[in-house]
Amino acid sequence: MIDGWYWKFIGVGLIIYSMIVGMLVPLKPSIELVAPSAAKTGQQINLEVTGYNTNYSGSASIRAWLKDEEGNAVLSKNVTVINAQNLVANFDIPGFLPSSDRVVPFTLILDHPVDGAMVSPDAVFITQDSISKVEGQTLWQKDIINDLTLNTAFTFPSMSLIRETIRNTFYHVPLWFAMVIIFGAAVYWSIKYLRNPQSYQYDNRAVGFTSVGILFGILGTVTGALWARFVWGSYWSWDIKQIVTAVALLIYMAYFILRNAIEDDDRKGRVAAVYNIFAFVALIPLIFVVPRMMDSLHPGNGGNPGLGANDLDNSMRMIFYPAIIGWIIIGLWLANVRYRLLDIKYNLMNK
Amino acid sequence: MNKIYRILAFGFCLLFLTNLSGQNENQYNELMTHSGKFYNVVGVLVIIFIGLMIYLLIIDRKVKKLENQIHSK
Repeated sequence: MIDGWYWKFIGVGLIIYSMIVGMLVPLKPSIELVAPSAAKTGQQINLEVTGYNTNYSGSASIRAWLKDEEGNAVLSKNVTVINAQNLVANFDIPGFLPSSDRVVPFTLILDHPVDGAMVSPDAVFITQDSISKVEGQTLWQKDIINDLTLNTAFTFPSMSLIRETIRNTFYHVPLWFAMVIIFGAAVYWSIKYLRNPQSYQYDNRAVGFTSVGILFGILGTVTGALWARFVWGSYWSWDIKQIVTAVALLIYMAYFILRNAIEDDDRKGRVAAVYNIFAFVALIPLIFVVPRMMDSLHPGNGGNPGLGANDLDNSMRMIFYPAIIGWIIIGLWLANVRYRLLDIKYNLMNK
Repeated sequence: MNKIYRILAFGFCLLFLTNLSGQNENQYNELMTHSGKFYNVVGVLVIIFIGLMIYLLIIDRKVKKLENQIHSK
């Protein structure tokens, strides 16, 4: 199909790039843990903050705020740095909250002159015994969170629970992108074979692409299971996304069972080509439509199991897209080797 | 030759089983959650590598079969 060797090296280069850069770029400094998570009005509290990838001791002027949903905030009286990962922020909680609720969640915001601003949503729940929203609004101030530092270093987003496993985006997800493209190529060759049944090469190409597609599908499922073990809690949680991919892969595995079950070569090729078209037609709604109609643990909210807009930032795109192209090229290469072998076998058998 | 493949495949399975079996479960979980779950990513890369090697093994076997056919002709 494609002569020469250079395109294979482009694929390998892109994969190596995605592995090296994807593993070496650090996560953005962020807040890992805030304790205690509850307080009462009128108290003086010491919030012990544990950071991730932070360098608290690198700066003397760290500021901290507690803020509610409407932007009412209070500035920390005193921030004591213990070491690079730990600091204590001292707050005087005012006597009233700017809300008529008894318990209000507050977000902790830290500003570090080098690491940048860090946010820990709903870090502290403050309880008030007597409620006075008007009084509270005079004690809590709006617009006091200012001059936040923007960390411009090349980093990946740091999310709680996910943390370093966000890097799996470069290794788990491109396998699925490549799988769909490669199954698409298999269908292309199957259709070509049906239109031109004398060309045994077309059938061989369909076989090669389908086998690589299954390989990528299995790898995507297994890597997804390992990722799920430490983010969702178990390897296999019968999530709709996991179920439909398993069904789709079983449909594709039946393609090879079907081929092995038919003795006659011409019939084998034609039946398998028709089956391959049906398998692809089943695959697309299975992995793109069905999961979107049901609740899923898979990223993307509101029943969208794909990548949400918030799951990729610009720094990640610079590794993610090359990785997809790289895996597609590797898939082409693997399929290429496989169908060349089948062509040799055919020529040998029919001499 | 076939024997070598079986031993290799058995070795891979064993590697996984020792990692995942109950005795080492705690150590394994600690490793995977240690330092922001970094080793989870390493695990994913190892799985992809093993998968590619298994595919290489399958192609290798097919080449072997072809070689045998050529020799027997």
